[in-house]
Amino acid sequence: MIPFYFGSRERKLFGVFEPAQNGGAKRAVLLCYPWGYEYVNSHRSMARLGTLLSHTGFHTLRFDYYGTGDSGGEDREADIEGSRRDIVTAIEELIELSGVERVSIVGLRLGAMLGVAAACEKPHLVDRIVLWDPVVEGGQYLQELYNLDDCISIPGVGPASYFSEELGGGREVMGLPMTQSVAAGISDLDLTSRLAQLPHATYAVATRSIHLQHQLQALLEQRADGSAFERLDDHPAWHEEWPENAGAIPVAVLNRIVSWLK
Amino acid sequence: MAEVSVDITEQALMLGQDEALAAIVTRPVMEAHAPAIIILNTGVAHRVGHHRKFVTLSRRLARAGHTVVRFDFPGLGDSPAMTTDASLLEGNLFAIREVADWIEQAFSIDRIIMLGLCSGADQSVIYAGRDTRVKGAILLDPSIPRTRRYHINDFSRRIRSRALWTNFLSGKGRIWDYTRSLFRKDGAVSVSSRQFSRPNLEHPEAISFLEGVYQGAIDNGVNLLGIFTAGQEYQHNYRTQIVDALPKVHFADRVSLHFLRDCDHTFIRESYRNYMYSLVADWLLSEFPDDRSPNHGVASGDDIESMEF
Repeated sequence: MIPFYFGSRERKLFGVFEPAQNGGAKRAVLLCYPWGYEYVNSHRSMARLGTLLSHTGFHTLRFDYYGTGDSGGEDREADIEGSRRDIVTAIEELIELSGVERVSIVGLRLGAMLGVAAACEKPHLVDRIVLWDPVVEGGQYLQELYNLDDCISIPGVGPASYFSEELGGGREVMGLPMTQSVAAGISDLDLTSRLAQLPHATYAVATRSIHLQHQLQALLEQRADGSAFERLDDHPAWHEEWPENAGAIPVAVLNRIVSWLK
Repeated sequence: MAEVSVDITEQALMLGQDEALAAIVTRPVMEAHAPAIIILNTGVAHRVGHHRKFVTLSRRLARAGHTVVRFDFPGLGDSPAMTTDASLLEGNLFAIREVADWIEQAFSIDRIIMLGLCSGADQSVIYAGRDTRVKGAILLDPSIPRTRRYHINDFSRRIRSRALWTNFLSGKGRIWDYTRSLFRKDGAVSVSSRQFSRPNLEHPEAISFLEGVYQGAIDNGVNLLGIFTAGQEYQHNYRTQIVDALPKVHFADRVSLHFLRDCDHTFIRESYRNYMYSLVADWLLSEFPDDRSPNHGVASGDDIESMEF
């Protein structure tokens, strides 16, 4: 496991590279985290997936978007278009580190949507895509986040702050700023229209019923390239119902992702 | 592997004798002699912390002249689990020592301040009594026993709660659950899905253990900053509870205490975090006044509220 910074001087990204353990690997996987509060909740599962893939013979890289996690930039410097470009940077970094010609992408929640958006820009650098509990429609997801924050019932927590234009506008959502720019960027995202442009085999796995699930399922099942949609009964890695699933790893989902990629 | 900004650097490393502890070192570009700060995991959350607060805090403290290391205990975050016969606690304390050793070796800094939230706070104060290099411990919601005054406050709060009376009049809530259980044949009380197992910190053995831990830290010359939030209302609810709860500890003037009535356990709102950062900064400045770097007093960042450290 190698933690390191990559990217440009102005846009340093933190990543963890895990070389394939079985030698002679010719395949690599890039893991794309979800956004906001879902990032911290899912880190444990994403790290475990990276290790599992590495032990299975894949080079893996997972990284934090600029303005998130351990990457450079402050919270308000994070933006959707920038995150998409970060994924392209990470794809190129992983290709350089591993020596492969193309990588697979595993994206969780908004990371799935961003991964698909990045693959649209560099389709020749991507071979397969895994959408894990994907966000399908940005606007609906955004409203979901607002609703979640508005319904917080935790001792000591008051209502979310709304920010001035100088601070990027927007409001707080589950502990992080949702600037006007980020909100607009999320609203513009639409998974199925982007996915329809991609020729890559795609596997979608959902632990819960997801918005526009039937549309996504139909899109994948009409393909003849091994694409599939599957509903698995397991923990949502990105959402913590404390204390019920604190720290729980959705083992069935991880194993299924690994076996599909094999 | 280092990220350099205008005035601080960030470096990603694997520390320890087995290079198994994933860590980020944040420090001023200029030579710094202020005590180093080690930030511990909160529960199973990785070193970034909820709402990225330990990243923001690390950068602000580094701009004030401190070398800050946030790392993952074995088996958490990006640190692989280790095979060992040691208990989880002893393994974690060993990991902290490895980080402290690395800081001393790499930067010749032999004064350490521990910082942690919840379980991180508990492990901070335990370690503080075991290493003479530790000069301070910043404890965010550490585990402390409830006291008689706690229960009076809690009863007073509940009796004034609209929810209590609404539940009472509508036949809901724990009081009615308990009453109904008395009339059931098996006497079982229904268990709410929100209940969870908590350690009994009021047990004499627990109190004795905690008194030993805190006295050990005090005897080791460690100054303490305790910040308690309303988010742990089931465990603490007033500023000086720790002093009442651990009567055998001679805290004297070695502890500074704050109770944040409008703040949750993870500091979910930015305003809560900013307030916590300012409390930490003020305390560091008062306890270690002569250790500032030339960077002392810099703004925390273009897009973050400026704060004097």
